[in-house]
Amino acid sequence: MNQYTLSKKLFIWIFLSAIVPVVVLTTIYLVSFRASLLSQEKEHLSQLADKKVEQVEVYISQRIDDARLLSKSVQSEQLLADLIPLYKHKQKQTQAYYLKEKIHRSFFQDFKERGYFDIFLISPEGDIVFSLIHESDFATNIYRGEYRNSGLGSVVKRASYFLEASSSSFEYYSPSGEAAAFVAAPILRAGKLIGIVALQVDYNIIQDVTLDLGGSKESREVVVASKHGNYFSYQTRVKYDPSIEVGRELPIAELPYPLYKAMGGERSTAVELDYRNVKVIAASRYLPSMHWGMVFKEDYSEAMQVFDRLMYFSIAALVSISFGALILARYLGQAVAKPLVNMTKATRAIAQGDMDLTVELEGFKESFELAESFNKMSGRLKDARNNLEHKVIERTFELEQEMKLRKKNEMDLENSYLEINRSMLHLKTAQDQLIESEKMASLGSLVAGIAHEINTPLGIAITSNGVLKSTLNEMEKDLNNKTLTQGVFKEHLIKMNEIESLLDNNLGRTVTLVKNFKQVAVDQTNLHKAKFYLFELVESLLASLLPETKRHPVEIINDVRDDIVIDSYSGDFYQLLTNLILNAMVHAFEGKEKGKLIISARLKGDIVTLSVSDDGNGIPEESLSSIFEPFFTTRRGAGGSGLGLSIVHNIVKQKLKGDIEVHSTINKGTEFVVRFANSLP
Amino acid sequence: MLLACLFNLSGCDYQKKPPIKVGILHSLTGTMAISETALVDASLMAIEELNKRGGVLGRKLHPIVVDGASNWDQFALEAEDLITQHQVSVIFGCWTSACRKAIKPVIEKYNHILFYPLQYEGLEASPNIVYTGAAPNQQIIPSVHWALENIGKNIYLVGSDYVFPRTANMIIKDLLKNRNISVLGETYLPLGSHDVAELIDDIRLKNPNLIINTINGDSNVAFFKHLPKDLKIKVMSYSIAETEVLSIGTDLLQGHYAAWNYFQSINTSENLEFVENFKIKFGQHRVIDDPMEAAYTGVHLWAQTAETAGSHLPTLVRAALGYQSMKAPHGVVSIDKKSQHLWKTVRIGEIMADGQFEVVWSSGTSVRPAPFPSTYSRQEWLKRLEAIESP
Repeated sequence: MNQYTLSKKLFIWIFLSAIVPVVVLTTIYLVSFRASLLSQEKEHLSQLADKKVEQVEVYISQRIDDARLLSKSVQSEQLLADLIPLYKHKQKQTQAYYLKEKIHRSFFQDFKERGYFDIFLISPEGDIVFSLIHESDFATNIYRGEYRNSGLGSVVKRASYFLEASSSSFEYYSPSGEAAAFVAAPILRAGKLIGIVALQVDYNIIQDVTLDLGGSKESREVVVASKHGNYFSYQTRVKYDPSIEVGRELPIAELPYPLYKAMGGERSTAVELDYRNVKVIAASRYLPSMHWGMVFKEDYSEAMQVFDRLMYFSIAALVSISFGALILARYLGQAVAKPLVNMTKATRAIAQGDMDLTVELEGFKESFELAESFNKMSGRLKDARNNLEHKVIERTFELEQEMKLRKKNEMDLENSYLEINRSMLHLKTAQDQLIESEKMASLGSLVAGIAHEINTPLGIAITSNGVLKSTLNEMEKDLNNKTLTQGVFKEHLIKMNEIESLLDNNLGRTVTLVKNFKQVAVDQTNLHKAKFYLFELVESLLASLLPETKRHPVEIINDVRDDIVIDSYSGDFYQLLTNLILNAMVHAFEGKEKGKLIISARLKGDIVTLSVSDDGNGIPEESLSSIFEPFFTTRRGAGGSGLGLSIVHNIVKQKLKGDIEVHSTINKGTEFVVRFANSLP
Repeated sequence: MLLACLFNLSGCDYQKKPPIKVGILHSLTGTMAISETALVDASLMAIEELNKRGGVLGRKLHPIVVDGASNWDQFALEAEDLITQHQVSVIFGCWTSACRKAIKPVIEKYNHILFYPLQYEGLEASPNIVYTGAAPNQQIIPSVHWALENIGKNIYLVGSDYVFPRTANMIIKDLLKNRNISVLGETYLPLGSHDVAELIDDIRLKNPNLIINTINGDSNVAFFKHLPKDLKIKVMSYSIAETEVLSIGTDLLQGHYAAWNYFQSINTSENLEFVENFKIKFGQHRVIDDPMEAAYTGVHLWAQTAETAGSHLPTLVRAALGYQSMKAPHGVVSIDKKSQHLWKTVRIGEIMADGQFEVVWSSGTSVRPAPFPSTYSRQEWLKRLEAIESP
């Protein structure tokens, strides 16, 4: 919608909000008006048709009443009485006849004025003994003569058969040479038939009755027809086709539908096609006394004239309103858009750089105010722009200064960083060196310990060897002196056994010591990963440390579960445990008469929990947090390097990838808990 | 709101209109039940057809069927009940003239409307009754003439002992007087009697060639059974139609005649459709007779009149009765405004072996009803009627 101008938008909105609903409503109203107009016209026509039916039936009824009246009149009776004897069949009548006839004639002549073409009096045998107009029917027999199948014949037959008045519809009646309808009534005296009176109805009179329409609608017409076998005939003149003769037989196929319905007794009011094939509103009715079908119709277009006019007017009105809306929208759109368009132009100019441009104040109030505010805004913009320019220059200068300073700081930082890096490297080297020297130191002390240990059994062995030597000398002496008795030999033997035992033990001890030391030494410098039983490792370590540990009054217990297998660097463990144990010896049991050191380990899942606990002096709280720091010691003067526990800490963290904790209570004891995975990946 | 306007303007009525109640009053039990229940069927079929088309004045018809139990007092009570309690808009009912005369005062009292479908003796023209059956001039009179021409002139009159046969014979005798013919005999049997011995003896004695029969009910069985075949008598009956032929038997009735407006054998497309629809609804074995067709036509005429009047109220419907016409199964009918009888076509039929009638004579076009034959004035007729009813 953004591409559409205001005019177009306005037009669309006006169209949608006003015109479309109006069109819809108008259509609805028109449709229902048409429906109600049609139904109103149909109702009207239906009522007119009913009235017409009544009119015609009443008219026929009156004709029948006339016949009945005549049948009851004395004149009829007398005429028959007079003329029947004188009547000559199919011949010219006698003078006597005419004399008698003349007497009665005037009465019937007067009666004829009521609207009859002819009046007949017929004998019970069927002879037409009297007629006002002596057409060819006069003096014939209506039951047997040539006119027995005419309308006259049928009404007379019925009258005599049923003894009731009867009427016929219009048929071509040859004696008269035109269409005629008949009404007959039996003349009864004391229940006995003495004759029949018949009236030939004037066709023109009935025509007036049926065609008398009244009303304003020009196209209105009453069409009447009756059926005979496979033919039908119109009973009235047909308005739009004067060529159609009344009473002429036409084929049933040509029967228009409304008339067909009417003759079939069907009562309807509907929109149909008439005999001209024109659309009409047709009310179909049946007229029983003549067996007529009657259609009271008017042209559909005439009936709906009012509606048609209204519809055309509505369409014209709507078109002009739409046109008016278009013009209005255009005008309004332009009026509203003009100031906006101007403003747009101004904005573009300002955007291009023309800062001094202002918009003209014009148009309706809202656009006037808009233009004012716009100008104010544009002025402020100009000022702000100027301000901004100054500020920008200032700021740029400041920023440049800062940049310079920053650069300098950066350089300094870089230098410091390099310095730190160097120091770190030095420190690392020193640490490694320290660890190496510590390792060497512990190894050294270990060697010293072993040497010391070995000295003892070796000393005994040497001494024993000396005793053996002297005993052997004694034996030789005795042998030479011939004083080597059995008893003396036994004494020497016992001594020699004692010596042997001593030698055995001590040499064995030496071997074991050497073996242990070898194990530890190898293991300490062992850099291969292997699976080992932790229990066995602890055992061999304790054995190797015995020279050192026996100097302290401490019971060392190996409480490691013997099913714990560790897949790792055994050297790390030796180092770790050595440091913890020796540490405990030195610190925990200083000044104590006796103590216990328990080394225990549990395996849960993959995690080994190794605990080295003593019941010694404990570690003061303030020192607890620092004990793993390198060079932290409380025995610096006494030869402590302060590296032992830090080495332990390193091993645990870096080599075993585990954790170490320390819990301690003064005078109660200390526990080091190490947790690690039982196999290193 | 727009939609509401739409609906209003287009005339749609979205409220459900209540149905129009119509009363059907016939003997469902008792001696008349066999004949009258068929009328209920025909009336209900017409109502169903109307309801299928949307009812009358846009409302469905709701039939209320009540039993007169072949008892005229019961009929009068039920008629009153239908009008006052059920508030029906019209009553379709009765068979015998005695029944009709019993409920006539009730209908007239409430200014209501009754459609009476039977051929009858005439001599009545209540403004509250529409007579859809034949008046004497639409059945009796033409058939007597035809019988005189085509069968013979030695006539014997036989009938049941009540108003219709007696009045009919009165009219017939008038006709015969005009022809200078006297009846050979005139005998009445009590209703329901099977004792025909005396009658048959009299017939043998008088030796007619034509019997005009107005016996009603199952006395007809006894009559035809004992009728001497050797005497070559033809009977013209006015109370024997397809239904009675079924019950009496074609072997007894074959070759005899009846006069009606309607025969099931009428060969027009309207009648063929009517017969088929009836058989589909009620069974292939069923037959249709004149009173049934008149009852059916009566319902449709009432519906059409109500539509014209724009109301179902009896007074307004009665005002619109005049000239209402329709194509009944037997032919075009039209309500005669003055007498409220129908223009009807007259037919004479001969009973065939299959129980159907072959039409041997037809009046061709419909005949104007004359409930009061013009042989005498109305007053004279009523006097004569009185003489019969209370001898």
